[in-house]
Amino acid sequence: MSGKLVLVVDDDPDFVDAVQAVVEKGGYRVEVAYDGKEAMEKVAQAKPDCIILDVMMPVMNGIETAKALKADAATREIPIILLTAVAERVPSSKYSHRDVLETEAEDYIAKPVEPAVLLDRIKSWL
Amino acid sequence: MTKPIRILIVDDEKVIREGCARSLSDRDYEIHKEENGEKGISRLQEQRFDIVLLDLLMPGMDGFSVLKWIVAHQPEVLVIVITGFATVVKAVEAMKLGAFDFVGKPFTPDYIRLVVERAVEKRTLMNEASRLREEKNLDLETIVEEQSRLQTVFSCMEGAILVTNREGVVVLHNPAAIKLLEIQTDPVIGKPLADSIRDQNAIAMVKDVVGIGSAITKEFPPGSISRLYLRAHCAPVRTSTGKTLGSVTVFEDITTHKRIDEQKSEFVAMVAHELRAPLASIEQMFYAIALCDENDGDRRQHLQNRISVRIKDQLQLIENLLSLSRLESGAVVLTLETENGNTILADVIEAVRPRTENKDLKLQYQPAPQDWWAQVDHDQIRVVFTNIVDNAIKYSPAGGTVTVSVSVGSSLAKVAIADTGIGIEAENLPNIFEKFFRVKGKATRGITGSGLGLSLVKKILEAHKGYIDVSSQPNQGTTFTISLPLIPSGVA
Repeated sequence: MSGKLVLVVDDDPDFVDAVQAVVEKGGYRVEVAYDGKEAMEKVAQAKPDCIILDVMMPVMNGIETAKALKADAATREIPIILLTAVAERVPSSKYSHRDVLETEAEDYIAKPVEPAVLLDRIKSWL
Repeated sequence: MTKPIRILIVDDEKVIREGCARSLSDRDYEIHKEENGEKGISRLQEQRFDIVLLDLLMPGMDGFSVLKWIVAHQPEVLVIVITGFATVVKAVEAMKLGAFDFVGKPFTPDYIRLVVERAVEKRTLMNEASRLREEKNLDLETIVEEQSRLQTVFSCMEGAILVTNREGVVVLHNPAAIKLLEIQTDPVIGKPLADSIRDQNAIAMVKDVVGIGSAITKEFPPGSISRLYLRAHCAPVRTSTGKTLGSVTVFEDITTHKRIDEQKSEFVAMVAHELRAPLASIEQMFYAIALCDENDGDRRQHLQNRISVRIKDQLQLIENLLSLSRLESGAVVLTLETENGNTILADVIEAVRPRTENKDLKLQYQPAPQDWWAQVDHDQIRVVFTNIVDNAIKYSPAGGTVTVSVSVGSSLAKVAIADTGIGIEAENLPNIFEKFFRVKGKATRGITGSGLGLSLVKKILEAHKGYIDVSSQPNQGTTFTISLPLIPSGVA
């Protein structure tokens, strides 16, 4: 048990549950949040070692959240893995590829994500 | 000229009258005779004649008086005066007054025939000329009428029409052109198109069409030519020999089409997202289940339950989507029947009641004291009540109460579905009937749905000439009130 803490952020509680199950199997502790604002609070409280952050969320979306975290010296070093829906290229898609890159998040994965891939990515950033 | 030439002979001497008539009898003329001036005039007043053979010297009213009368009243009639041999002077005088020709007495039949023939010829020509004149006038009238008709059509056309010559100078436009193209130049005609339209692409289009001699269709987004989204069809104007004289461009306002297109794309994107996002969660839950071992029994059970719920939600979403689309396209024809409202509500409540049992919720039904009747589509109205009661259950925490009550007025039945649930923030209230709108926050976490239920309810009620109201207090509860037109109980 490395005991490292991973924060899982998504507005769909079922998705959070499922990712939490996978990440815990990987030997990490897990904190959860269901929107960007909650994530900011959890980051401040729990000081996670890695953040898995969904892009499309109400209240405060993943792009804004990642930018805010990277703009703050206290949280800049925490690796962020952005979760984007597959083929988010439909006309109304709110976020472009560029938006995702501009967040300076360390990594991004399309969801759903296979457990082995997810754990591998987390491991690579810790 | 099929009508025969009509000739009137006015002479007091019977010998002359008969002689003239006989001389002309082998021709295709219609001949009448009168013995004095008075009778001649009254005959002329009664009937139309082409030619009058008129004796100048008659007792009573003489030939000159008759001639003057004819010239004054029937100038188209040709008068040939008959004079005595010695009275050429009188004949000349008669000619000056307007007679067509004269014959001196005595005359040979040939001579009279010759003079009359000349008059007939003249008469025929005059008739032909007047016919041609009439025809020409008629043609002109048609043309003028046609032009004003085209002008009217041109002016009334919704699309903008702009005609330029080969040099790109505007030669014609309709009123819509000023409006649609937001032209401020006045006048537009006679000036280069570039004076009136600033957009370089539009100018180039017209130039190209004149240059290459074939039509171009092009779209101009708002801000290029005007604030409207325009589609232009620009075609060359050619002579019959194929020479290009200029261009005619028809601009059509397609702003609304474009907006509908955009809305459609947005809707499709939204539907795609709503269909896909839950699938990602479902697959993610399957991944998680695959990792579960014998110690993770509870977690496995929970995930399995959630997968089942989410799949049912997706099926409901597809169902609602189809119902909505059918309602909106008018493909659904409601089967309206007079139904007892109390019975329908009682059925719905009983069907929904099991959903309250594992949630510690009270579901109360207070039917109207009297039966009430409404024209409804049984299945559709059940969808309405089921959706609203179901929502009340979904958004009420354990220990709450959902109350369905009915008040029957003079023309409307009002069904109120009140819950003691989480309520809806005032800022969200206007949006709840929009497709895919769902309130997301801590309180609604874990509550899933299609996001189409209320849209569907609203549509169905509109089709029933009913409506739905909502009032809500955050953290205290929400009341939806469904109003349906009543059928007087006696009719049922």
